[in-house]
Amino acid sequence: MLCSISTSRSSPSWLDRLHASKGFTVPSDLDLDHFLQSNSNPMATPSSRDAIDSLPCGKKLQSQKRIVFDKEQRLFDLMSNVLSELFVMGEPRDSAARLKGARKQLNPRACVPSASASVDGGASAMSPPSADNSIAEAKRDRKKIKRMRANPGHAAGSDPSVYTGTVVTVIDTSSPGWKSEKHFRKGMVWKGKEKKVLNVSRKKRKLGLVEKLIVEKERAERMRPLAELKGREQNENVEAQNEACTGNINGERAKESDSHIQIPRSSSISLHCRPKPKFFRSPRLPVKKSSLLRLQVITKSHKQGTH
Amino acid sequence: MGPVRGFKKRRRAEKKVETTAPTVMGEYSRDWWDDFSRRITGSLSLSKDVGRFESVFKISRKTFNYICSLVRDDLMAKTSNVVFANGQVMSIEDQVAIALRRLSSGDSLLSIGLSFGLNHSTVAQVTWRFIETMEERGMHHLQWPNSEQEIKSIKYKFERVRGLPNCCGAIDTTHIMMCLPSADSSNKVWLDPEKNHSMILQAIVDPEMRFRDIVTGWPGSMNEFAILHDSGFFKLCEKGSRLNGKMELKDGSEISEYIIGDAAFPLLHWLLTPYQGKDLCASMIEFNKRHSATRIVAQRALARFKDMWRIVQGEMWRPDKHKLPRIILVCCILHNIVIDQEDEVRDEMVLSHHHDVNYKQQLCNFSDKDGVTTRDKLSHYLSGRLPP
Repeated sequence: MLCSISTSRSSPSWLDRLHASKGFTVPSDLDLDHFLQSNSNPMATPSSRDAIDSLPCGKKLQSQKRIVFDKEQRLFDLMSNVLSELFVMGEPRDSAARLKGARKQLNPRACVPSASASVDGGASAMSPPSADNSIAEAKRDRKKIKRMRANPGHAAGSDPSVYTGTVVTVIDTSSPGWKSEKHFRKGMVWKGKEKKVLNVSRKKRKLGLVEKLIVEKERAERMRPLAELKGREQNENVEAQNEACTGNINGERAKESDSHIQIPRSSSISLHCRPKPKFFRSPRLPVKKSSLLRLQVITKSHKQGTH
Repeated sequence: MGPVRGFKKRRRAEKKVETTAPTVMGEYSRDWWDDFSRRITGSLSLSKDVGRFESVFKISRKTFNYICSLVRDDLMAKTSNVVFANGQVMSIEDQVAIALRRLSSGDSLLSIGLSFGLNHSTVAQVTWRFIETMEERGMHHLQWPNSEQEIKSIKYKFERVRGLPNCCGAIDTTHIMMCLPSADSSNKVWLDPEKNHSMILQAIVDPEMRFRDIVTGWPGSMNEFAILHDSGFFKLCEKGSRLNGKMELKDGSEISEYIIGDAAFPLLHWLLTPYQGKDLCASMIEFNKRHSATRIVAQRALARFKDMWRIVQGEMWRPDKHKLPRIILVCCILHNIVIDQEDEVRDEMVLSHHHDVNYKQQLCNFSDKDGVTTRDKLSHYLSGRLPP
């Protein structure tokens, strides 16, 4: 009792203190507690009402009817789930989701429809495409996130050195100091270009974008069967594995010493890097084109190099 | 007041060191190689020519002694008792020999340590001290000709190859390969067009295959034009403070100094590249032939450089990218010292011009107006001298 009184007393005073410190004046007739409660209630009320409605209904049904109803219900739930994924419709009406709580819709997992389909034989026909799409979507989302990370504007970049510029020690015997640290940046070649080449470079830049999209599409298609296989086997994403791979390599890199020990190339290929050459094999670079264009393509590939 | 306790003892000990040190040095200088070659074990000792100095170090004893004289003072000051595994103090010759063996063979620190009875970390330490010292003491072996006489001699020798007048050098680039983990995204900048991790070395070479100007340290993804554009050489030439000498040709026209490079470089008034395309007239084809025959000196220099200093030829396992350019520089200095010393070893070496095997020819379409004019003028001049 004492505790409850103390909390009820402390909360308005705490809010008052906060408002006072921030310089807000709160009218006395405004009930902030009510405002906060009313804001959270609409979310909880419909689900509780549904629970009340559905509970007696389930009690009345016979065993056979219940199975049929359950099947229909699950199909309905699945459809509504898919619809609610596509459109913002509020909380899903899936019974399983209801049991798990409101977090389900806020953070939908890629394999939810396929998991429900495995339980329900009736919905199995439509589950593979949806599962496929969801995996592809999830992958696309991850790519987007990675791309956002790669953006130098974002502080949470995974490796800023690739994108913001790599510091290299350059020795130039014709320079006064002959040894200097320079920043290798993307597109630094274009900085020194003459004006007449500028128009050509713009055109090529556009071309580069198109090429980039095509390459991305191809890569997504190439990766799909692999992602499906992995998804079935261990419900894990390829991206996550790549991340783990980079982590391991970074760990190895920490051991790197100044010494230059030479070992044969075949033994140098680590297990984690084996799938990597797949990406490098793609014939992205045209052989007979100007070196300027080639360099730009390379810099584009740096941009894409988030996988 | 009596003497401080133990002072006499210390004096005696110091005297002992003073008396022993010169004899040790003297022994080394007298027949250092006999002693050193006996110490060689491991895989190197299995070689038939192990007793031959040149087979181990790829340079003559004369050149070796010169290198020792270059670094002696600095290494003496820097080195604080580097010892062999048996506790014997290393002489300057020992240190230079270990560093040269590391640079020329490209063998791992471990195998070199095994050959000379050393810990691998000692090999790394000795090599790095040698590199630092050579950077300071050997830079005069790698510089653009600064006397009129020197320039004249270079031009004369180039003209003697295939008749290119007023040519001051040949430029080329090569890739120093590295073994880096592909999974590390920060290594992507080091990927060259052939999908190898590499560092670029751009060199301007004189007719005797001596490096006259180098730029190194840039990652493999950079192209030749970009590296050239950023170089001090480019700036000096554009400013007019280098390659500014003119020459009057026999037909009365005037031609300025220039260097020659392959199609990966831009065509500038001081850098002439071959004509590109299929529909070339006879004078253009002739120019390209002469150009190529003269330019081969740069390819040979780079091929010999990589062959002689195997540390840059083999694929290095995760090297320090800030130290590698300095290693390359010192190897270039050593390459020039071998030429300057007129080392007879170079005559025994096979001439090859393949320094970047499996690398496609890059193309640069950039050309400035003056460059086109100069090239045409030279092409006409050379075609006029064509044999009937």
